[in-house]
Amino acid sequence: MRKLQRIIHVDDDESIRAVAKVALERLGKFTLLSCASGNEALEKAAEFAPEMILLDVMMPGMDGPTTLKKLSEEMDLTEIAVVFMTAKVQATEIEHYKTIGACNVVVKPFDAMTLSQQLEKYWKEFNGE
Amino acid sequence: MPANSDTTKHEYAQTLALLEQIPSAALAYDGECDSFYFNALAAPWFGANTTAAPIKSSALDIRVRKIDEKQPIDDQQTPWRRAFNGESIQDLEVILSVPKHGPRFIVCNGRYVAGTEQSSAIAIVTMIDISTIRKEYQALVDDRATMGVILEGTSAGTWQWNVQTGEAIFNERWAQNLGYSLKELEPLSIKTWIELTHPDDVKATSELLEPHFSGKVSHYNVSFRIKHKNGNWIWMQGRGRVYQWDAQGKPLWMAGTHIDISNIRAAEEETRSSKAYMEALIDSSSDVAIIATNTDGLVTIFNTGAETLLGYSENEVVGKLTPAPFHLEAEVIARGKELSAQEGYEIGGFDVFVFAARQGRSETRKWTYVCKSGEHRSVSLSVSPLRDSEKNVIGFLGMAVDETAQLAAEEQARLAAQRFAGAFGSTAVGMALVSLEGRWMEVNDALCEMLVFTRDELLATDFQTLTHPDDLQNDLDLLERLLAGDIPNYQMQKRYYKKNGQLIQAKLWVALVRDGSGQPLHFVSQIQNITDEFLAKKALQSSEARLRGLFDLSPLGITLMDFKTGKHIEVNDAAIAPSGYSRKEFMAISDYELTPREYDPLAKNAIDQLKSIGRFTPFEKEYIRKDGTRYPILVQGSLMKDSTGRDVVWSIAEDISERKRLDRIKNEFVSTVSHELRTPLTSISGALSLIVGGVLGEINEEVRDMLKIAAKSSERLSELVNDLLDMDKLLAGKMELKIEKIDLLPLLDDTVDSMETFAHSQGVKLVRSGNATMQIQTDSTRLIQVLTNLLSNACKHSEKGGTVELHHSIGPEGSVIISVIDEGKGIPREFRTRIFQKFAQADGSDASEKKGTGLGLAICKELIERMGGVIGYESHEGKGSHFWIRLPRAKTRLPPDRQSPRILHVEDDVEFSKLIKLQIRKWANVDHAYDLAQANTKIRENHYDLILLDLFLPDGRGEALWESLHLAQADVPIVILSGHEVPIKLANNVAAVLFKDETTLPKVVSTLQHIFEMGDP
Repeated sequence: MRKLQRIIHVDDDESIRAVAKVALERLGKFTLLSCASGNEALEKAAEFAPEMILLDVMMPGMDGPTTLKKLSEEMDLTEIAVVFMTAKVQATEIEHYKTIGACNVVVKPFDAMTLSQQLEKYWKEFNGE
Repeated sequence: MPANSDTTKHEYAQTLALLEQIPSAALAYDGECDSFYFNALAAPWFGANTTAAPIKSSALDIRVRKIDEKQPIDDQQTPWRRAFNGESIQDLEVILSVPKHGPRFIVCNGRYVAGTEQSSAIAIVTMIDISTIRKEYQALVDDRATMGVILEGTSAGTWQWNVQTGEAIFNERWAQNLGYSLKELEPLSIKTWIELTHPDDVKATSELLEPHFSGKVSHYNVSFRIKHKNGNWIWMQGRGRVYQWDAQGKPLWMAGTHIDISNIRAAEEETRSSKAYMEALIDSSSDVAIIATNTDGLVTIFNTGAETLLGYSENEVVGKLTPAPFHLEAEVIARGKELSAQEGYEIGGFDVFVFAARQGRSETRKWTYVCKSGEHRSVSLSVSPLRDSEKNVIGFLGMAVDETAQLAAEEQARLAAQRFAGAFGSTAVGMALVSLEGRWMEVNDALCEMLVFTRDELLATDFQTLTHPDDLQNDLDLLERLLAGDIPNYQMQKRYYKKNGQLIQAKLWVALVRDGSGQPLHFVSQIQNITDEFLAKKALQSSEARLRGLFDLSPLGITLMDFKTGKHIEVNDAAIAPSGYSRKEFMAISDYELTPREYDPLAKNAIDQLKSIGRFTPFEKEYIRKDGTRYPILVQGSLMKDSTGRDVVWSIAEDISERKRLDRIKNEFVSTVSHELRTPLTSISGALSLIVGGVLGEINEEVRDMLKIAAKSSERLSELVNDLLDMDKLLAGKMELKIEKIDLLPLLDDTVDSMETFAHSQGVKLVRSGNATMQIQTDSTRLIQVLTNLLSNACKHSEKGGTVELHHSIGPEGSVIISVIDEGKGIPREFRTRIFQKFAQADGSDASEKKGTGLGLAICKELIERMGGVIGYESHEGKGSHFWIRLPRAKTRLPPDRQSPRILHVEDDVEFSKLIKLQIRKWANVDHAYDLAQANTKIRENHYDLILLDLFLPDGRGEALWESLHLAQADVPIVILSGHEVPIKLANNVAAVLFKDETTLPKVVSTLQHIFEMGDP
């Protein structure tokens, strides 16, 4: 199995980005690209070549699902695990996100200390383990 | 005591000889042997039948008591024992009782006589019978006491007078009756009385003494006037008699009473003067024939007017004739026939004249009088009853006026007739003749009484003075129109002043009397006191006005409608406003037309309640506006009867649109705020946990402690926000559950594992028990949330070192019971009713110690109920709590063979049980038991298919009933309908648990129907 190393995190909230950066880089030893909007992610994604994209659902301008749709038009996402991050936790919503291409959902507020482990777990699931 | 019998005999003879020498009754008492020797006089007093031998005390039945004491004297304190002990007894009075004799009062004297060689020591006691004296004395004391009481009661003054020395004694009351204190009148002697008494009466009263002194009359009895301190003469009745005579048989001391009889005198005086007034009036009416008779018809008065008219003299008639000879027989017979036909029985003779008067009415009729000369005269005869002071009819008064006589005389007669008409004098209505100037010319008793004036006082004034100024002008205007001939009479309501200045409300009727030439003579007024009715009416009006004000101004819609048709009878503005209809339109439509059809079942329920208990409990529904939109209302009402006996419903419909809107705004606000809080909270708690977790390198310990506090607090804040969002979703119905079949055991294990760290931090040991493997239908995430919450609560409320247990077992009908058991303090009693409410927190004092959002249990309850389960608890203060969850809620049960199941509802709230019965009586037979005793009886006598059980009953807890039933008829399902506090063993074993405070009636019905498989829950 490929190792999870490169992750793009898209979130309009600067503080969340900062927390996630520390959590993922320091604790998870991942290589992280933080983007403040869907557009920024669209610009940089192909070049960064991530194994996983962590995508906030609610963002001004372009929201998470739209960003995912646009990304899928520009690049091949079959090998990339897309994880949504949202405060909405309804079981049916998670199902919905899965149908539009997400492999799983991180529920806000997330536990910064265990976020890396969570993503590792999702990565394993994505790779069929 | 010497043993030798010879010695005894000798000794006895000696003692007896000694006793017999004593002239009074006497005894000798040998204290050594406790035996008596009596002389002949004393023996019978003691019930001793012989004097020939000493008698042992034990052979006698003697009771001795002191005067005024009930208890007998102790044997050691009897006069003889005391004397024997050496005491000298002198004039000691005791009461001696022996069987078959009344008590005997005796005076004892006694002393000790020392023994000699031949004789033993004895006490000698002599006794004198004073019974007679004592009894007389007692009677005297009793008499005095009685007399005293009587005198006190009659307010009589008492006096004692030494006839020979003039010395006099009076009691305080005597002085008080004259307005003095006794001290003021000192020095007291007979002169005190003579100086105060009217000089004319002193002589008269003195003269009355002689017949008493000489014994001609047993009592001295006199009336006299005596001067009161206020200067008035008051009348006194004096009674007395000589009670002590000197040696020569002359009176020495005299005593008696003086009683104030002024009131009686005044009444007598009044009677006399009014009688004289009457007589004078009758005599002076020479132009009117006045003939009075006794009840038999015999003439008692025949005045000069009658003499002139009929030609008979008074002497010929009074006491000798009835009025019969003055009348034409034909006329009397004709009138008799008329009355007989009218009344249905024979009336004739004298009765035809007084028929009306006997019934208390005055009657005026035309008759033909036959004069002594045989001449006929056409007269108008008025007959009225004559009454004594007790209102008994004692005779009749006839006043005849010669119709053919001159007009002036006729006028005079009319005036007199009016004066004396029965209605005038005896009626309760005030009547008066009023001069053209307004002066009262004649007034009757009722009017005097009404205005609290004496007749003379009233006659001295005029009606203008007594009329309330605001009413005067109106009265005067009407009088003027009456005088001008515009109106024949008038009637008005006005106020009069009473003598004491108070106002009365009266109804006045006034007519004008004119003489033959049409000139006004005087007014006749009839005045009726209607103060009481007026006040009552006014009170009614004001309370009506108050209610009307409430009705009109109430912000709540109030409607009165016909119960049968639902048509509006009365409606206030608040009821109409939200509907968009005009008042006219609204009145034309019924409640039925305003209500959307989906509310019909609720409306039907309300109607059923109205029929059975006369009111319906508040419920929410909607009304349709004129424009077709709807608005929510909260409606409640009760059934009444209006004055015509029609069934009407008063209902209050509160427009709750605004409340609903505010609720929505509030919920949206909470929802928005919570969502908005999440993002920053995520960053804060994330950042803090990373720092505290050492991800960014080592930090100073002090700083870390502070950051830990911040991290913990942000976690709590996150929990609160999460709870709020959960609650929000649950309440908004947005919480979606994913019910699937899961294995219970792994879920429970996982839950305990995940809580381990927390439990450890609280110093609590977490254990799981129960091994049943089973699958259940549930939303596992939410079930874990609930269990986590319960476990977390249990840990928080446990002491360090305590154990929290998560247990599960299989319940009846495929259900599962999961319980969380702690050993903490238990739930405070006062908190139990609120425990599942939002933001409920037990006892504020240690709330900071046991942190929580106050939403946890409310969320648990909502979630469990959405999953089709029930949550409850059992708690013992000081011993711990036991929360249980039952999933799923009641399962179906086989229906009975019978058409409709038979249900026993054990409930002490009778009204509530009526409501339940009303709901289910269509498909079930419901019996009601008020308490355990009734329930047990009913269960013994009948077979029930289901028992609906309240746990708190007047004579005990419902558990007791469950226990006995569980043993005897385990197959009878029990549904608990009670508070949240339900013991676990019940929760585990009953068909369903419903909570009164939150169960709607339809829910009860559906639960029961579900149990009987009668429909879906």
